[in-house]
Amino acid sequence: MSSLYEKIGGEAAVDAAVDVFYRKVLADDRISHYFDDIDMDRQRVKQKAFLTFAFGGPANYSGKDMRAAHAKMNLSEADFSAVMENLGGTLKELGVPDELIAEAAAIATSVKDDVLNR
Amino acid sequence: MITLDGTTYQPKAGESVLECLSRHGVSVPSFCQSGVCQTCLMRAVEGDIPARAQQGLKESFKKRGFFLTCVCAADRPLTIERSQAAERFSSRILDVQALSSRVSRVYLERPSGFQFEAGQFVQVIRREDGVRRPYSVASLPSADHIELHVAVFPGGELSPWLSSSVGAQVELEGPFGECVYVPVEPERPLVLAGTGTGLAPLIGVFRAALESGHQGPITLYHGARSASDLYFTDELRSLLSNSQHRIIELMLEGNESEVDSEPLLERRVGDLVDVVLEEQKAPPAARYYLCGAPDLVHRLKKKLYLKGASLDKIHADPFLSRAPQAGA
Repeated sequence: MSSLYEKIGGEAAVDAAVDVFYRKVLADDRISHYFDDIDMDRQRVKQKAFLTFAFGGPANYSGKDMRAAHAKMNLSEADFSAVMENLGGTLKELGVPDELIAEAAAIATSVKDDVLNR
Repeated sequence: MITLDGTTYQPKAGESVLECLSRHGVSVPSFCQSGVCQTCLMRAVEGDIPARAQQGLKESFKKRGFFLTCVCAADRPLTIERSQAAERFSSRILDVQALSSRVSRVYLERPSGFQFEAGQFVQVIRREDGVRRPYSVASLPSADHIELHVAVFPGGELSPWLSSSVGAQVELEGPFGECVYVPVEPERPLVLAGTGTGLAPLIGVFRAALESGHQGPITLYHGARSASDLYFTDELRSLLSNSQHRIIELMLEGNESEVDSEPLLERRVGDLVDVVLEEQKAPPAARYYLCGAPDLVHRLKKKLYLKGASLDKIHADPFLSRAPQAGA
């Protein structure tokens, strides 16, 4: 039985998804202000690591890293939902089947408390 | 066999460069250890880098030998340096020409052994007190001098001195930055946009593209506050020997009566970001170089990316702390 990462399409899928996802996030008025003063190249690399993680891939991403990275941002439930919405929209746009999107969403949701610093 | 800072380290079978260095107690910042986050980036001075270790890096980084130590097998002879390593060279101010009331062209002696690419920047350091400022190189590596465009701020710590001290000794550190011509795609349209002396690296890229026979169209936008700040008009015109290229000078202020139509060169009133976005209908097709005021560089980069440009093909060089109030 192949993993979620393999079923979604591995590294090629991450490469295809990262710009779609990052553009959605940057264009989303609800959350785009969090990205105003940051280095876009580095942020894109982080988005790639996040997507690799959400796709169940080899990302060496831990809850502790997520907590540290978002600790000072004071993010709300609504911010988290907006990102999840963009993640789902990205995968849908790329033709990923709903049941795999749900699996990816579940992985991303597993670090929600860390991201929201709870 | 890995050589770093003059010391050679023997790898064990199957080790990555990062693992080999770490085992020997050499500290290298790292995070994902899977070739994604680029924290462990280093540069190879000598030796062959496997393609896997450069996957995901910008072409300009690949070309200069940068690689990811965590996914680079250590089973090969490599001489490497830390990505921040900067060499220091001695140089001298050869000549200074005033280009406008605010900008001088400063020619420096090119130190032997100083390797750079047009468009990169160097730290210029005054010997007496170590005061340093970054300046981009407008001249080609094939020239026997280094050309800088210096915005002269009255009361500034370095710029008034730099523009009035022909013959003085300076130190150079660098080069830095990835605002360089990428010769692998000779047909791709190039779009160069900058404000003020952000023009210097763009001139460097333009000259390098012409020298290497770039075939795609090159469009250069130079933005300034007013006509008197458009300091390079005559030299820009000389770059337009090939009619498929375009140069547009833009000023924020000024009324249409001040707008004269230069032969070949276009000169208009308008905001750089607005004009570039309006004219560039197919951002994914072009390669971009954006230099100058940080605000503008970041704004333009974001908008071009949202319009489909690839971040790999946007070379941005925001000129930090160069505002008059900061003193330069």
